[in-house]
Amino acid sequence: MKRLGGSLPWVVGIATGLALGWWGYAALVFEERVPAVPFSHAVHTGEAVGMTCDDCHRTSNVRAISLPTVDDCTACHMDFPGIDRDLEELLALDDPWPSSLEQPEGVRFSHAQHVDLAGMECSACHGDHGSATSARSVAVNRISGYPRALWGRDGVGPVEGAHAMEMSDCVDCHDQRGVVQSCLDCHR
Amino acid sequence: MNPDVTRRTVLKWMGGIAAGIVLSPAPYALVDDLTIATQTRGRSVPLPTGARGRVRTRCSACPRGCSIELHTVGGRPYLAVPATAGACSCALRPAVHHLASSPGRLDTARLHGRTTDSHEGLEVAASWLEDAVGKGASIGVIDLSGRPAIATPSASLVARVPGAVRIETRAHWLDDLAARVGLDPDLELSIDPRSVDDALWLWPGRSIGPARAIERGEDPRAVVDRLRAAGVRAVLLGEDGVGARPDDAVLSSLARIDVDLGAIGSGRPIPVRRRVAPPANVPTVALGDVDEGSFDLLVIDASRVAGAVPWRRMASLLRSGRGRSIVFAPTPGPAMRHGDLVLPASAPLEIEEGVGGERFGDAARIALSTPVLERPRSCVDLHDLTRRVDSRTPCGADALAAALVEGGYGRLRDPEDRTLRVAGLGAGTVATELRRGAVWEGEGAAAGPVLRPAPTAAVVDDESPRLVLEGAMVVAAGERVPDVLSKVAREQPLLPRGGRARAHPEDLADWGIVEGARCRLRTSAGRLDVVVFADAAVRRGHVLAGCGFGPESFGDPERAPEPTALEVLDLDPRSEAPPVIHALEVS
Repeated sequence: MKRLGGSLPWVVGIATGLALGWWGYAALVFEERVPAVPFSHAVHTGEAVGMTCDDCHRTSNVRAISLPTVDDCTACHMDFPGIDRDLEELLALDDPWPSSLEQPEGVRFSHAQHVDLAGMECSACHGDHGSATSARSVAVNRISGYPRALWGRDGVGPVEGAHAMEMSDCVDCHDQRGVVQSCLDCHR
Repeated sequence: MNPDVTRRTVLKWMGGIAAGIVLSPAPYALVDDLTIATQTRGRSVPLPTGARGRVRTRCSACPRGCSIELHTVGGRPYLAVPATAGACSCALRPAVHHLASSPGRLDTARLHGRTTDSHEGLEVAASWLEDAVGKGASIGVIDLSGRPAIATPSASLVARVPGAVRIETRAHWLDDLAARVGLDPDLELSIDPRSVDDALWLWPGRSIGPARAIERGEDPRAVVDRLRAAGVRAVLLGEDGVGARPDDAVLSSLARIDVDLGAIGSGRPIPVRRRVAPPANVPTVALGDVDEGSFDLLVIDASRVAGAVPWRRMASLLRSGRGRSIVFAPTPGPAMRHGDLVLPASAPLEIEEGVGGERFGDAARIALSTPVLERPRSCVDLHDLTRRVDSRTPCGADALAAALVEGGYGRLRDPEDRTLRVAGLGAGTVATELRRGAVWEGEGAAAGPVLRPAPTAAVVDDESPRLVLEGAMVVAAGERVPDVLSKVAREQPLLPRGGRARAHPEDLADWGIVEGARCRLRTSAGRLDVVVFADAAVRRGHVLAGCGFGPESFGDPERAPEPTALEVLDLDPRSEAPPVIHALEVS
């Protein structure tokens, strides 16, 4: 019998460890949160309805997150086709659409500042989100509670760039536009 | 052929796994996640618990008193959001509201390295100035406040000091911007965006970047074109809080200039409605041209600087200076240890040479300052200093009102009850120094503060006298505690239940208020229910009360949370934000 020696166990072990570190940890630490209410941006922004982003997302809101609530939907909807839940139940949902870009509380971000003042298009940061046919499920870190997209490409595992909003994205864009910023402009 | 898996093989494999994991992001991500979790969820730091809420109040970083929205957890503030619809129109910087709660904020005067109070500091500063003037010494006044046109108390100061030289800095973007795009830097500029179609609209909060681009050497025209392409339509060059948000009152109180892009930098004359003249008798040199050590006394006014300060240059100047130095600053800078006297900054109101001109005369006595940056024993404002250097005749309420009206700052709402609305002044966080002895003497004596019984429903404590203090200028700020806004504030001291206010005992006696009385203070900025205490350190005519977002009762149910004592009563129905206050009642 030939002994399994040399460097092969090392190599196999390192490969296993890297795999565990890269994918195993991510699989363990992130949990998928599925939107309680399915939603198609494409249906609402298409020609049939013709809504714009600002119809539901209040960009003049100083909050970082400008997700609508089910209550906002009732401005147009009397019922919700395809959703087998009572309206009262839907209205009681605290978080019908988990945000994949929810910033930490120590970060100040203003949509109004970017949309109203800088005149930026929503797609500049959010990509072609308006044509999405379904609401995304969101991977949330079980330990930190932060959505995975926050870390983007620099974090554990790749995230599609269009929906990432990490600090480097902010800094890059600010640099391109000649916006000089200091730490406290964004970090509380 | 079966491989011979030995213990050594397994150990190698396991070692490889360990090495692989170490080489992967997992351990660092785990540490990162755990760090975040311990900061936000852990038990090592007592985190706020309870219902989330929001309180609308006012920023106390400058006399503007912009609306801010406090996010609270369990009644404890943990977040302050400017309620300017996120527009970040703060002239001092978007994050200036942090300055007030900065742990590094300078709130105590220092003399030769030791802590002193502002009264002593002012006396020392005034005596140094007088001494230097008397000996014909050279005096340099370095103004880091920005443009010389508006609201620069040091300009007023230096104008009164013979032989003084005003030293301009390039620390402030407005100077550079105005100079490089061909505008007269001595103009106070303001554009009404509603009436100007084709103009450059440059909000102070967002214009820092373009200005820095110009500073870095970009062609100003290219910057202007880029701004224009980005939809920027008009110029609003204003600071000192007044220019922070262009509402009607601000626009009407500021000088205006019609600017069109063709005129900027073209050499063609720009129509000016009002010109604000800087002190004409003061020579001005650039900071870079200053001969180090050529001055016997340096006065550095960095009182309004919330951004970058060329402290390295300052330090060089201060180290090499032959004589003494006086520094006004909101936060300690690296140069300060070299300075002989460092005074906490205040933000005096724009009662200024050139703006109201000498017509204000003795109205310069009403020095408004930012009380959040002052404490009873560390209150400093340059107007006070200028008065000590060059005392003026006390004025009465009539002269004050007339001067303010004449200067376009106010209108007399009702001459009979002598209530004056003053535009452009600060808000509820503004302290006003109306020395009773000066203001109310003579004919104005009858128009002193009015004490009336409060409505029963408004009285919190039946055992206390029910008094409403109306009319008199009320300070609604102070008692700032460091790190208030820090979410993980561990070292915040607790404030006792209920708002407290302090006033001079003689004032209390005059007003008929006994110590410990529960009173309601009311200004146009809001309402404040407080328990009043006597404090001889408080200047006459002042009432110092906690307001804003003071920390309370964390983890202690016996201490009721009171995130803000200043209750703003009138909210704008559209924005649900407190209206911009541009008037304080003086009766």
